[in-house]
Amino acid sequence: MRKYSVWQEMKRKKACYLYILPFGLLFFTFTVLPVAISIILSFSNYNVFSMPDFIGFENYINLFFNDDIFLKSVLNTLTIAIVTGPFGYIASFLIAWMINNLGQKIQFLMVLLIYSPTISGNLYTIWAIIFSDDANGYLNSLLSYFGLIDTNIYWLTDKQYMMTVVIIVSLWMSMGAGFLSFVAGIKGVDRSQLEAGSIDGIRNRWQELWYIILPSMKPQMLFGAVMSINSAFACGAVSTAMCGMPSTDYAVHTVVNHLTDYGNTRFEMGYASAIATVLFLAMIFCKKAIQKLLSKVG
Amino acid sequence: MKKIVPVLLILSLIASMFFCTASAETAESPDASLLIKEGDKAQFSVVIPSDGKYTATVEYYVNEIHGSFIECGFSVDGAQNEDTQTYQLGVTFTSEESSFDDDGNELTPEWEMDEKWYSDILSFETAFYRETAVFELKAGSHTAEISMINGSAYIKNVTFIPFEQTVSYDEYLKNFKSDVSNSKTAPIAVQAEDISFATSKVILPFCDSSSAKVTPIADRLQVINSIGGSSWNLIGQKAVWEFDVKEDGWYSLVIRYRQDYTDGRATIRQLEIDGKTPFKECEAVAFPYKTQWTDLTVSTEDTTYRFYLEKGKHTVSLTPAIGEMGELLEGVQNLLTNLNSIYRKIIMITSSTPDTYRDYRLDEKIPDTLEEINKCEKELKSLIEQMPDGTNCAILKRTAEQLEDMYKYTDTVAGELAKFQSNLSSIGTWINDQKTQPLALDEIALYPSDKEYENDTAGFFKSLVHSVKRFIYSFAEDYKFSKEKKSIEVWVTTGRDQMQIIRRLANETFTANTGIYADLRIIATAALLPAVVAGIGPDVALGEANTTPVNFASRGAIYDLNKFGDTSEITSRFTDAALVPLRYEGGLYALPETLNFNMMFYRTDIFEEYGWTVPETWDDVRNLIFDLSKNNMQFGFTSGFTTYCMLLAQKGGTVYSEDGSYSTLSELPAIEAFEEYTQLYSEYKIPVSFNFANRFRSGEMPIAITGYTAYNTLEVFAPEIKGLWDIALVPGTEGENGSINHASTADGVCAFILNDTKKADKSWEFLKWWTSADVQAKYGNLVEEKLGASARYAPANIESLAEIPWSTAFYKEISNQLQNVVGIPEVPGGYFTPRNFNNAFRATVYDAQDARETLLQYVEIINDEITRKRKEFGLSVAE
Amino acid sequence: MADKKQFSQKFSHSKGGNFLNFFILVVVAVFMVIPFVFTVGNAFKPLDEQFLYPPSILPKVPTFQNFLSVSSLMRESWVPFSRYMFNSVFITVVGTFFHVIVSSLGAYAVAKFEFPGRKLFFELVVVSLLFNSAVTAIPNYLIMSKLGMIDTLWAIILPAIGSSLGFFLMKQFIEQMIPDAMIEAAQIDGAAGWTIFMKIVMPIVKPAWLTLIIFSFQNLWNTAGGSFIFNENLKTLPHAMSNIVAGGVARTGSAAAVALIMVIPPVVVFVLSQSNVIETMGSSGLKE
Repeated sequence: MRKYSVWQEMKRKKACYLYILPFGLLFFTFTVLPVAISIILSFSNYNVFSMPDFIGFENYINLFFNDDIFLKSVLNTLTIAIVTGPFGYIASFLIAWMINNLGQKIQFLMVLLIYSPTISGNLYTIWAIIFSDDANGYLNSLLSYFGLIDTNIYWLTDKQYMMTVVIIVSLWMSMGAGFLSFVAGIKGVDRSQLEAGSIDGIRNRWQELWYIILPSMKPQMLFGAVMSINSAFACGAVSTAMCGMPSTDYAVHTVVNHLTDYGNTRFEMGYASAIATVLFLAMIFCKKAIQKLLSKVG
Repeated sequence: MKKIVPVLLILSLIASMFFCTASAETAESPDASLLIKEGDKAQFSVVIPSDGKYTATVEYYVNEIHGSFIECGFSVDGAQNEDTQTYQLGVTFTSEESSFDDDGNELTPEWEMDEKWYSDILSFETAFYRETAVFELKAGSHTAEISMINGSAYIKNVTFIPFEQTVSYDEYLKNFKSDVSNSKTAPIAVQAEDISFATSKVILPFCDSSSAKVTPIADRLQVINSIGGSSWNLIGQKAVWEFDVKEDGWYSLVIRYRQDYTDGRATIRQLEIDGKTPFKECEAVAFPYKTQWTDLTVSTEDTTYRFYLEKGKHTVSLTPAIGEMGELLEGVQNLLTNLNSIYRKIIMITSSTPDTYRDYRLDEKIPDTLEEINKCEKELKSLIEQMPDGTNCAILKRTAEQLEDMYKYTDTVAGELAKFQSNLSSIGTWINDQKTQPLALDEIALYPSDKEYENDTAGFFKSLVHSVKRFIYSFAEDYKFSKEKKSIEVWVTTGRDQMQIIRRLANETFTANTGIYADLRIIATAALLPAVVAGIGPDVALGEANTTPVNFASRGAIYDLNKFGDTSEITSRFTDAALVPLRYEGGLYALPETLNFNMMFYRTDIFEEYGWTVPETWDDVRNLIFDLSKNNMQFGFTSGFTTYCMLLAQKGGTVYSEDGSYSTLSELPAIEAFEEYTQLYSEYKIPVSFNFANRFRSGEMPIAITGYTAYNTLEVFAPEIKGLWDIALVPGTEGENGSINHASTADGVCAFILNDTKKADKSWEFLKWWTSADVQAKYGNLVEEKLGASARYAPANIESLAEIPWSTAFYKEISNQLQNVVGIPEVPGGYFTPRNFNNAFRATVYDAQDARETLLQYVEIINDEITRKRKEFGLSVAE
Repeated sequence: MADKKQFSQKFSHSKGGNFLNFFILVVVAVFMVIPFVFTVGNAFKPLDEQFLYPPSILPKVPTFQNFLSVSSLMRESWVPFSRYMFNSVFITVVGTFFHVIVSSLGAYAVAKFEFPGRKLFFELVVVSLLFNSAVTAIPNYLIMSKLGMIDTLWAIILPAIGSSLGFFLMKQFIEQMIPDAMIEAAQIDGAAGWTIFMKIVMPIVKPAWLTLIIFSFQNLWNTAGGSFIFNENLKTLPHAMSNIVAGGVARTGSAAAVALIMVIPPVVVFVLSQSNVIETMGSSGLKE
């Protein structure tokens, strides 16, 4: 076999580069470049209005050694992520799989209903009213009606309860993009493999799931996993929408909340970029770990 | 000879009287002696020839007015009409010539009140009708007295004319026997937007560019082609058009209109020709619901009404009227009053939050009330049946059903109470809705009797072409005012309605007076910052949060207004409190636009019922809370940093030091205020979080402190308690010398100039113009005219607040409180203050921590951040 | 279809299992659909019910009034409604179309061909998804500003075309569903690269790009683009509508109606695409 040098290889496959050119160009300009700039900015003080002022690793040092709130937010994020991430991922998958077991017409209706919150907006309104601090909020009035509480519970502003509320709402919100791709992916499982499996001795749906469906869906599993990690680590919208920004004593303050606080409220974009970079590296690490895990499935 | 002179004298006297009366019709200034000021009275003697019914005609001259009419009292021989105490003397407004902007768009004309002599028949308004005042008088001399209640005028004369009943159409036809045929005459059409005059400013001409059926068609440029719309909807708003009739004869009336503002019912107009209703059927001409421009011939199903007009000038006028619905609505209104008192009788036993499963034995305790319920139900059902077709009376039906259930199953009444209350409120809204009579007009035409009316409006194809044309033009037009070098760019964050009003005002007064064009754009709030950073921001930004100026100023992005020479004149337009958050390091960086400050709202009916007095101090409040909680009611005080600052200011404390370098919340007054504040929630148990409008309306929270613009929500949401609540100064703290400090805190939006601007002077001119009393007053009134009372504006300009149509009583309270508003300064790092305050508050109230210790703990955190930020900006830091 | 019947006869899913399956899904679905019902309910509530607290999910006295107000509000605007619609449709259709083509093309190359830099490129794409956007907002804006894209529709379209999500999704699906053998066979038959892509690859991964259409549509349709667009006649439908209903308390009813109207197109697209997704796989298969 002739070994080509890298350059020659590139020339040989120039068609491929053409294929990725349109995407690559746009992707580079609007995604890579801003990210690169942000990472560079993380080594500076940048108050948005004036030119950045480079200070080396100072932001990172402060972040890890001087910032209590950051550490708290990391803890909060991990709490939320660990509960909602894997759960959301597995739940999305299981629901997609369960839907697949139904008749076609119903399948379609189910997918629509379950995906509907993502389309409809108004996501937090209902939850905000259920968990409202107001004595007339749904949960409060229900509990006091049954005599379970005699004073109002401040679900959204009392440190004791906020985390629970945020976790519940986040769990419910985890049915998004990953879910749809699972639905499509299960559809894509090769029929002949399923038939072969049933001949070879698969006796119930669980075996079918583990031995045939999962392995042939590895690419979707990875996609779903990345989406899950992304939304778990990048959680913050729920906290802000339900408990305000910032939440009482930073009780549900996530890393993203911390980041936006520095960026948008305090105009310290350099520091915020540093937080974003740290978060970014953490997520990459996590993704690599998940990839290793997935290769063991089946 | 000797006899001729006296005769000549008398003749000339009579002649001169004629001349005098004749010349009095011209617009000459009246004699100052005729002026009757607000609050004064004047008397006129009249001689009545014979017994009978009379109407009173008043001749008066007006040269300035607030609103659309003058309110006066009237009595004959000291006796007043039992139906009403106030009458209205209307004025008319004319719009000036049309004007165009640089690109050729036609602009909405301004209304000017006609300063002239008016001669009007005395009339008054009830809830549903406008009625002419009729007096039964015996022959002989009488004295008529007019007293001015609202407004002032010069009154020359009061005459009584015999009351003529309006005849029916058949009788009307009998009066004119002419068979003259005028079929050769061309139809006379008048564009409705070319209105001659109107009695109210809300009848606005506008441009309808969405239809090809309107004349003249507007596709590329704005052309004023219609008038009226959703704001022309209440009785008393008369629009008048002049026609020049060329030939005597019979004419029919055809009107091109559009009415898609209601939920399907027709709206009504009263038609008058030459100031009088020609026949009874004209009292209520119906304009059915139509989404497209349609031609209506004034007629019944079989007969087209014909009007006899002689050659010469005539006027045709249309006024909103209620028609046959009037009686029915009155019936519903009375019923509603009964139902409301039934509700109150019930809650005397069950309280407003009853235990839904308990049987309160209402059939034993209030059997009369239950009978009342039965009666009301039957009455309601009969009213429903009489409603004209097309009326949406779903809410009435549901209430009737509910009443039936309540009567049959009295043990469920308690459970139904909340729904009952909400139904009553919906009925109140329903009545208000049914009263409105919106209508838009394009053209009015007089058709000679023999000519058949031909519909020449655009058909389907023309409409299609029109839509396509508009679409294509949208690519060519820039909707910018002018590419002139003399334009400044202004970014606004409000809604479209507001922006269009600002644009109109800017055109009419700003550009006309200064020659500078203001290019207005609506943008999302978030768009300002990145645009400024990228260097493509505007010259002026309006509607920005009060926290923005200091943020931008500390980073050099915003213009210091103190640099202009006349700044101190301009700042005197506002209270100092409004300017406080906009100052930074000796500079002033924005001008306040709105100021919404906290006041106390309370239910006068509930307070009367329980015999409570409105609290003046916080001690009073604490006493009141005891009484309230005995009756399952609460005192409302939204928790948060801004409301805490109220107490802080009342105790003489401040949030920050003079130079803003540290927070003074650790000092004694602040701590005392904090302790008192948290006590209200932890010991006196007032709710931390609540929905004001709902609780106020149900009576659960009959007194609350909130921003005074809560009025807007109450207008829309709780019309049935209108007149049953009032506002007062916030409770105060007694000072050393016995005076009570009623300090309140406020929020608002502001306007500023960006530093990047190359047109600082022009931008400053704009800001000065925008925040001037005239412009702010006009803006507030126009917004309210367009969107209704629920859009009432809260200007920061003190003078313009007086022009907002608050009732005299409300205005007194509001302006009183305004004098006592204290501003909260913004400082670098100040964003830490509200959040740490909240932390401190919650720790104290939820976790029962010690107030003082907690506050001190968090103040330290605040101070650390302030110091940090000050270092960043190179400012001096506290030790 | 014969396949399916044959298949399910091999072993039958237990009845009990089926019922449990269904029951769980129903519970989940009901729970999920509440906000959507709320959006629908709000649009039909008369103005005085909009402020009730706690709000009722369904209106007590339903009315069409809000929709009528919206239509007369839209009528009163200077810029014709058709233009706003056009703007939204333009960015959504152009953006979605090119996004699907461009990312599929690139994904195809990365999934099925070996070339230097392939792994790195893909890693870059996936990883870039993970970087928080609040921080990249300012650099992004500055880049667009330098390219002169601010206040044009391209400010919304171009970044959407280059968005990583589509690329990632398509690459995974192409990898899973297209065996190398198929491509080699086509190449031997003399087909050119583009033909293979359009005639063989794309039809097979239909469920994937149908799903992508849903995401892209939803994203673009709901983009107000408020930060980038100031020119009145370039505003998108959601932006224009939110301007109109920002008039305050009096416009609350209209705002609710607008919210419902805006939801309908994504739902329609969803319905069309998803039913396609679910149907498609019944008949396709590889004949080996």
